[in-house]
Amino acid sequence: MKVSANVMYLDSPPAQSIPVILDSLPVPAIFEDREMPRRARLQIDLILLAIEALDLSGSEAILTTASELELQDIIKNRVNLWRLRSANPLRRYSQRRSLSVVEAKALVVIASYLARRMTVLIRQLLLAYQQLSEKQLSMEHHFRLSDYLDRFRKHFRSRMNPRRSGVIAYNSDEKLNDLAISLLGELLFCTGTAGMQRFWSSLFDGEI
Amino acid sequence: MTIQRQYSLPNCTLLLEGLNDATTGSGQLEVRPVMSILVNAECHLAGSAPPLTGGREFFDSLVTAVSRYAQEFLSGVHHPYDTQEPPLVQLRRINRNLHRLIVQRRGDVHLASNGLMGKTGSTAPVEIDITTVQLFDLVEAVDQFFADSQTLPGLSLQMTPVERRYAHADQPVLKRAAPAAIGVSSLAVAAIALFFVPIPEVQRPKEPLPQANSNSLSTTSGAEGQVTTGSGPIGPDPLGSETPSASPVAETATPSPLASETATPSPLTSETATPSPLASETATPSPLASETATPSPSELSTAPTTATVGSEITDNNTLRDLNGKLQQQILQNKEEKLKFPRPLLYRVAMRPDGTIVDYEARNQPARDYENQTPLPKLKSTSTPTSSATGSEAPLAYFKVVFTLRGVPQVSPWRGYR
Repeated sequence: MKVSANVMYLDSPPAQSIPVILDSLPVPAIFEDREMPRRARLQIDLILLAIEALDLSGSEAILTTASELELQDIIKNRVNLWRLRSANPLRRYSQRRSLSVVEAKALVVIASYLARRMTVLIRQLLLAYQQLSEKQLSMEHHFRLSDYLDRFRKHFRSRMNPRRSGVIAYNSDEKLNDLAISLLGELLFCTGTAGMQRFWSSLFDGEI
Repeated sequence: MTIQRQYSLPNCTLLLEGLNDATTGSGQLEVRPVMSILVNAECHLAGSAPPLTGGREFFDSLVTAVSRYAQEFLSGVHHPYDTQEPPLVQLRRINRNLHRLIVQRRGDVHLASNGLMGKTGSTAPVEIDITTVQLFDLVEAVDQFFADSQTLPGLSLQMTPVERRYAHADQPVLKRAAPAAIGVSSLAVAAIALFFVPIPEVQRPKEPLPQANSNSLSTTSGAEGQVTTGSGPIGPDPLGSETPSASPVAETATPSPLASETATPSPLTSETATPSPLASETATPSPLASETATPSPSELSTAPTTATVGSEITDNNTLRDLNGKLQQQILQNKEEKLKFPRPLLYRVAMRPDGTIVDYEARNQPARDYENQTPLPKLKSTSTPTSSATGSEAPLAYFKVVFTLRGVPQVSPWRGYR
């Protein structure tokens, strides 16, 4: 027994320590060694896109948060991050390589942390949207909200492949605004006590 | 002793009243004793004055519905309820920003009778529309309750992704079947349309003319036009063509066993009949010996089909040099104005000294208009002088094309290497 244990130890690669924070996200049994489903890859990238539209230095913040949470082994640098996000099938330069479960976890954790920091802003914007739509006013009446929508549309159009049918579905400003608002709602849910777990679990909905 | 727990969010307050189970707890000394028995649960939603009140059954249902709907909100995948009877608490989506909380009037649900909630006697369920932010506060209150290990530790957050069978169940069968139906019908239409298209006749490619017969180019001297049949230089492979150039003196005649019998018996030409180009240095002088040498399997495998008439010049510099010479000779000797209906193509063999040994027409107009070209004259002037030693020298082959206007274009037959 002891010999075999030693051999096992020697054969195993230098312990790739997976940060403890990722353990709080349970993986459905059938996804343990599989890549993330298509909708999950799309959803994660869109949530990050919404964060970037909320926060001017969002993409920088993603990297900073990665190192703060000691996830820099998974998200090493800007290029690495771009590659992970390019697993989104709607991306202009969509990668064939897929997103592993660990990489997806890291992105979800980062998104939830960033969302939590912006809780107040997210709530404000959603309340503003609610008030404006009750009064049937256009979104331009709230500066911060129209700023967010504007930036989200710009990000979406510059990064998504306009020939994909999934992108064609968002061919008008209104449709993109709707997407941006629903992403804002999802971001709000990410800020909650169990928001990260809820967001993670929802990624596998309809896949098991 | 009654324990109260309150989870307050801006739009939603969850108030729980319960009891400590004295048999399990360690007594009254705890600062925050465990609430293990729920007596009353109240859910205050901002905007709807009377709170939703109920017992354990109501609270369980509320927690399940909220948790399940939160996931549905995030993923967009609806999770239908398994039970026939609607649960006490349900949440339904109205639009992106509005959600309907439906509470049945049965079980241990107590709804206050005042205000807009309707009369106590009515059995219609209570419906409250809440916004996304309010919904989030409700979810957050429930999540804070779940996170609190001192309150009803028996209840914990259960999150399981929705199974695949629910994923797109909301799409009607007709809508899902439409793409398949369109595909099948378009295939059928295409099949019918193609049925009337005649089947194209298969035309076999014409057999290539045997090159060996038309190849009148021979390096044997003595009598002019003597042809070594069957051993025409049909593309000697690099192995066969390079080795002889290293030993230009040895003319390798017919290394292949098939062609060895057709080697001309004239003593002049068959000075060295080597079985293979590789063995040219150990050339045997008699044709008889060559015949005995050929069947050896190792030599067969080295160059089984090589059939060179003369060793070929492949050196780029020499070729370039000769190319220029040939062009010059043709230009000097050609008549002023030539016109042909089609381009003429010739293959011309030259010695290193620049004399034209032979030429060969490679297309029909080349044969027809042969006498208008300077080639016959060039050949007749140059061949006699070298007839005695000609067979020994290596040869360079050139492609000579006369264009429609009679302009000659000269290039190495196999190009530069």
